[in-house]
Order: sequence, then structure tokens, then C-alpha cells
Amino acid sequence: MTTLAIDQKLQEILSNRKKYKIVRYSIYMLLFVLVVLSIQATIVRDTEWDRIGTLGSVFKAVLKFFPPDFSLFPHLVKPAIETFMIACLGTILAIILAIPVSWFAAHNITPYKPLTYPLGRAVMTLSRSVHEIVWGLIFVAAVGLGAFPGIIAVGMRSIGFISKLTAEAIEDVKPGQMEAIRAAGANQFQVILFAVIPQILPVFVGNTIFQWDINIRRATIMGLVGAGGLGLTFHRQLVMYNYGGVTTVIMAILMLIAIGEVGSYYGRRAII
Amino acid sequence: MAETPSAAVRSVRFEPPAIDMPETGTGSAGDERTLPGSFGLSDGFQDVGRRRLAGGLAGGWGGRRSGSIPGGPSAPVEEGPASLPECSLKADSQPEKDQKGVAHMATLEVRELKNRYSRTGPEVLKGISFNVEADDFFAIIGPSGAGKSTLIRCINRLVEPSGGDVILNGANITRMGGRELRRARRNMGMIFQEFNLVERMSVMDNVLSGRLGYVGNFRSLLRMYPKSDVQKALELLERVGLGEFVDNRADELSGGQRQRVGIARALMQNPKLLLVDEPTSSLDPKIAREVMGMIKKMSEEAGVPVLCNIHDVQLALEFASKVIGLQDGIKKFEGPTGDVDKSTLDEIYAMEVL
Amino acid sequence: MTTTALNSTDTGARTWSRFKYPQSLIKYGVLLVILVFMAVSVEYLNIHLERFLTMFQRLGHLFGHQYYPPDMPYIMDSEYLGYVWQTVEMAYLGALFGIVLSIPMSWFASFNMTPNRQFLYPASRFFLMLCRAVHEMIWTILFVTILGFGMLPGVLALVLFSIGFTGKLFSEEIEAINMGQVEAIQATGANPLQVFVYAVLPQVRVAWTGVSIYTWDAAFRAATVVGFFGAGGMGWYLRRTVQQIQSTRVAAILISIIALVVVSEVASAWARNKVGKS
Repeated sequence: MTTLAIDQKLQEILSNRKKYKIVRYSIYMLLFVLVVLSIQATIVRDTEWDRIGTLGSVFKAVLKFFPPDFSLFPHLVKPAIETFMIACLGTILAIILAIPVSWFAAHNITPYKPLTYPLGRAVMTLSRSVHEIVWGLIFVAAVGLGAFPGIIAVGMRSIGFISKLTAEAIEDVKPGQMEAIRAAGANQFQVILFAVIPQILPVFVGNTIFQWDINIRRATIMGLVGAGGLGLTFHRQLVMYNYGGVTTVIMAILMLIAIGEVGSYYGRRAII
Repeated sequence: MAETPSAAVRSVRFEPPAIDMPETGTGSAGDERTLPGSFGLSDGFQDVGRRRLAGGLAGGWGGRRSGSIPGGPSAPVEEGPASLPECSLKADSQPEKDQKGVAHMATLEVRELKNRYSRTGPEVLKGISFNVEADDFFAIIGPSGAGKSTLIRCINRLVEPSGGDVILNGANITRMGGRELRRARRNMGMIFQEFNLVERMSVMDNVLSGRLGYVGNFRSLLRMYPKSDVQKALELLERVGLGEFVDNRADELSGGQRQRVGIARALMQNPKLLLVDEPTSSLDPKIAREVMGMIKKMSEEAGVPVLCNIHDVQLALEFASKVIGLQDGIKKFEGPTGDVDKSTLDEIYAMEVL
Repeated sequence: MTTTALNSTDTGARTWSRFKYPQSLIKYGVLLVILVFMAVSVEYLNIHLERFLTMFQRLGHLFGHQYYPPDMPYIMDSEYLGYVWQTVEMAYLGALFGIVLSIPMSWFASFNMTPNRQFLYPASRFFLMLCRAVHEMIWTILFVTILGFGMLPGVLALVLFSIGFTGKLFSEEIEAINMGQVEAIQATGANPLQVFVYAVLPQVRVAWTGVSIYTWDAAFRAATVVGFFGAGGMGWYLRRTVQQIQSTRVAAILISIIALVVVSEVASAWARNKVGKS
């Protein structure tokens, strides 16, 4: 290329760049304005600024939560165990229900595609979309207070997560292994048992352990809608304005979660 | 030496007419023909393309040895479960009696096998016919896309044929429903190109999975195989040289080792026929030769005929006793390995460089 | 490395057993412990099988009589829709600030790229764990207690939730990058921030976009319910109707929540698909 041609090319590139820059920056400006407006609309106007007062009074409000009320600890053991059990049983329930759901929702082994596939997918989506508080409300309304509705609510929530990833793993299964088992004269049940399940087992179990960990978190708040465990204690401390006690409960929750994290870490290591 | 098959047949048969007319229902299972002179016919027979076996020419035209029927039925024709309405076909699969008067029939008969992937798509197999004898090692060669893999899979109906028949020991596989088909599949062991072992299971469990057709659902769930199965699995694993690897996971093995597990698994079924789909394509040349040798050795020891799909012509010619050349879904050649020469290969691989 | 289960008997015949010592013992032992724990829990929590059966009956009653017909006009009126819009805005702001704050936080919390292993790494990991461990509802209640009702506590709770959610996923992505590119940039003498921008960000950009979309989706789900505890949005209506046991209205609100979340889920799945393909 001649120097003139190179110059021209350079000009072309630079002007193109400029155009892109303008477009990009205008988009950024738009987003920025949007954000500012939203903040203005939602936070600035809607908040009870007088009640909050100055930053100092906010700080004082935070200080109310300290020191933690350590005398509460012995009373927390029972609810903590209850919460842990709710999480475990809820996970077990989710496992039991996730097996048929992921079977239905995998388009390569679903038994009757026009019916079972959309059914499986619908249950999965419903389970993942509805928040555990909502599930809790529904089941408390149905069966009353206590740990039982909490277990079901936690379980219902987990089904979706476990079966989504399991169904995807089933759909990614290597077909050659299924072919080999079928060629030996096995029926569909045996094909699934020997060719599909060994391949998806790590995904399924890994996910279950992951959900178990999250379910501890979910179980802690079930008490807020009446479903037992530490959430109930939390609520009680709050309505008694015992903010130190609230902090203690949060500490107990953190300890419980820590146990879950440790268990989940070692459990997942053992699977791989 | 007769020039045409039918002439040769006529020269030795005692009941001429029925044989050449496939539709004649000459009837019951008891029909017997004797071909005392057929042994002499076998050596000179060459068929370059057009011979149709769909007619009455059941029973081996090539390479049949005297009297030995390893693994095949020595009694008169076994009634296949679906064979009653098809009297005309029945007549075609009559056992031939050899010199010793023992009934003998081809282990596998394939007639006019057709296949197409979709209802309006092109035909992948355009009417293949051949027979496999009880002591054959049949190699199917041909360029890629000729339909070799499809052919193998149509035999045990992993792929559904769109026309034609497959008859294993007198039973018509193509007409079978679910349960019968599964039982028939037990008699056909299959070895795959990609090994197709269940990777997360141990070698032992993989070999035992060959017996799944014989084990009920409940026992499969608990993986409770009968003790005799476990013994047999151990023996087979010893014979393929993997005795040390019994409890290893399948994905810890090398390619050649995995294929040997595949061989053991296929033989666990006590099959009447071994279907082998490109066993060596995923292996190094040296290992490939070992594996082919092992397949040949173990199938001979078990007395099982082999139908093997292979694209390495050297290996095919080295190990097989008979060869079928496939091109574009049509059988271009069938005959003993000795009869394959350069011109045949050129014809089969017309478009391909060897 | 498995303990072999093959023995040779005197006759030379080999035997084989599926149960290998000690692996099988450990495996079945753990399983037994879990089952025993389940049984104990069921007893302890007083869960009887009859309750399961009556549950279906009562659910049927709930859906058939109390929730039906859902009071649809209630959710169609503009005040409620205003609250729905509030929910969307809260989710949007919460996710946005959460993601923005997660970027440096995940950088500090990634083992391979953190600028300071002794202090920043454990501190940021602890912070992320804190955000993740405490449920967003608890954050909501705490913030409402300090700041009163309104959307501010809701947004703050969502921000913390998003940091916890996104931070972990982001840092996992960082830990999975190809270190070769990082070395190359480091070799030019760049400072840690430049290394991050030029070697890490380009590699994780696509995955992070997917995670961000997922975060928005999750934040929206949480946002629908934070109002229940006073933090603004449609959850507030839910609380009112539940407390006043106006079941048909509860049903209508639940339907609106489910519908919106499903729409958001489908949209986010589609968007993540497109991003994944790019």
C-alpha cells in the first residue's frame, strides 16, 4: 500500500472507532441516568428519612444489636437441632421427588414425551420460581404450624435445582453406553440403571450436597412464617425487642451454616 | 464345475423345482434336502455381485467343513416364534444335511436387508443378502458411508431395517416384538468401535453387564448375579489377559485394554453370533492387530461365528475367512478371503484411495 | 488404588466379592448413619405418616375452597401494579450494585489472583461467606429494624444477597482461568490492577455475563418477597392479605408472583443461552 492509502485506511479506522465510542458512551449515559432516576424514585422518596435521622442515629441503631445476649445460647440448642433436621429431611424429600421429575424432564429417556416432558419441566420451573417463604406460607396454611410444613417447603424448593442439573446431565449422557447395554438384551429399566445412572451420579450427588448446604440457610427462616427452628426464636427475640438476643441467634445461624459448609466440602470431595 | 449356482444345484438335487422358486410353500418343517456333492461346489464359487440368496439357496455355499456344527442346532429346524404365518419363508431356511446326515443351517441369514434413515430419505442399504456359517469369520469391507455400521446394527435391530429379513438360527429377528427381541439379542454379542464400556463402573461390573438379558429387574438393581456368572467373568477376564484389572474402573484402562473388556463382555452372553463394529478404528496399529487376533482366537474357542465390520483391509484379509464388499449400500462382492484380489478391491473402493 | 477383593483358594480357583474392605464398610456405614439420623429426626419432630395423608386432603381444600376463585381484579389495579414496578426496580438496583461490588470482592477472594494472600484473601472470603450464609430475609428484617420501612432496606438486603451469590460464582470463574495469559501480562511489569483488567477480565467476561443475568433473576425472586417484612414491593400486599386471611386475594397475589418469576426465569434462561453462544 502507498502511504496515502495507509493514511486513508487509518482515517477510516479512527472514524469508525469514534462512531462506536459515541454509541457506547451514550448507552452508558443512558444506563447511568436510569440508575440515578431509579435510586431517586425508590430510595430517596420512599424511605422514611426522618425516622432514620442522621448517620449518627443509624450508627446508634446498629449499636443496639451489640453486645450479643450470650445467656440465650443454651436455649438455642434445641431450635438449632430442629433447623438442622428440617434442612436434612427437606433435602431427602427433594431427592425422592427429584428422581422422577428429572426422569420426566430429560427428553432422551422420558417415558411419554408429549405428556411427561412438559409436566417434568413445569414442576421444575415452579419449584425454582416460588420463594421458600411463599411455599412456607402455603403449607403452614395447609397443615398448621411446626416443623412439618417447613420440611415440605424446603423440599419443594430444592426439587427444581436438583432436577434441572440432573436432567441436563441425563440429556448429555453418552449414547454409546446405552447402545451397548441394549445390545446385550437389557430392557429399558436396566439400560437406565446401568448406562445412564452411573454417568449422572456425580452430578446428582454433588448437587444434592450443594442443595443441602443451601437448605440449612433456608430452614433458618422457615420459623419466620411459623415453621419452626431458629427462625421462630429470631422472631420472638425481635418482638421482645431483645436485640442482643437477635445477634445471638444470628451467630448460631452462622455456626450452623459453617457446619454445613464443612460437611458439603468434604462430601463433594468424596464423590469425585 | 457348473457356471451358475442354479445349474450346480440342479445337478445334485433330487427335488428340482421347489428350490428355484422362492414363493413355493413346499411346506412343513420336515423337508430335507441332501447335497452330498455340495462340498465340491464350495471351492470354485465366486459371486461377483448379482446372486440372490433370497430364493431357496439356503445353507452354505462356501467354506463349509464336514459335519461340524459348533454351536448351531443339530436337530431339525428350530421353529422361530413368529414363523408360523410365513410358511414360505420357513421352507427357505431348511437345514441342509451334510454327509453325516446331521441337519445344518446357516447361523445367520440376511435377506434383502434395506434401511433408510427417514421415510423420504435415500436408502442406506439397498437390499443386502448373505449367510453366515457357524465357523465363519466374516469381514465387511467398503468405503466410508457404504452402510457397514448400519448393516451391523440392523442385525440386532439397534437400527430398524426398513425392509428385508434377518434370521438367526431360524428365528426371524426383524419380526420380533419387544420381549422376544431382547431375548434374541442375548444371543448376539456386540463389540463396539468406541468400546462403549460404562466408564464409571468397574471392569468386573462391565463384563457382568453382558448377562443383563438373563437377569431380572430386581437382581439388576442389587447387582446380584448368579455365582456361575461371576466365575465365567473371572475366567474370561483371565483369558483376555486382564485378570489384574478386575476391580479397576473402566476409565482407568487404555484403549486396547478396554476393547478386551468389550470382548469379554460380548462373550459373557454365550452368544450364537458376534457382531463386531470396527473394533480397531480407535486403536494403534500394533494393538489393533493384537485385538483382532484375540477376537479371532476367542471366537474360535467358543465356536461362535463373527460378523465384523472393518475398514482396514489388511487386517480384514489377514484374519477373516470370508469377505463382503459393500459400496453405497450394495453388496459388490462376497466370497472367501483368498478370492479377494486387487481388481475386486478396486471395484469396491472405486472412489477411495486405499 | 483399590483394595483388591480377589482371593485364591487352595484349589487355585479365584473368588471375587463385591464388598471390599474397608471402602465398602465406610460407604455403608455412612449410609446407615444417615438413615438412623433420619429416623431419629422424624421421631423428634413428631412427624407422623398420617399427617402426610391429611396434608393432601387439606391442600386440596386450600386450593379448592379457600384460594379459588382467586381475586384477580385486586391485583390488576394500578396501586398494586405500582408496587410490582417497585419490586422490579429494587431487584434491578440490588443486582446492579451487588454485581459492581462483587467484581473487586471476587478478585480478592480468588486464590490465584488475590493481591494479598495473608489478609485480603481470608477477609474477603469471610465477607462473602457472611453474605451468603445469612438469608436475605434476615438481612431485610435487620435493615428494616434499623432504617424503618421502605425500599432502602430492601435494596440493601438485595445488594448483600447479590454480593454473596455473585461473589462466589465470580471467584470460581477467576480460579478457573488460564494462568499463562496472566504470566504474560505480569512479565511486562504491569501492576496488579492492570493484570486484572487485561488478563483476567477478558477471560471471565462471558461467564460473568451469564452469572450476572442469573443474579438478576435470583434477586428478582427474592425481591418479590422482601416486602413481606416491610421492605417495599408486592410482598407487602402479601403480608396484609395473609394477616387478614383474605385467602382469595392471597391466591391472586401468589399467582402474580409466580407468573412474574416464571417470565423472568424464561427471559434470563434465553438471555444466558444467547450469551453462552456468543
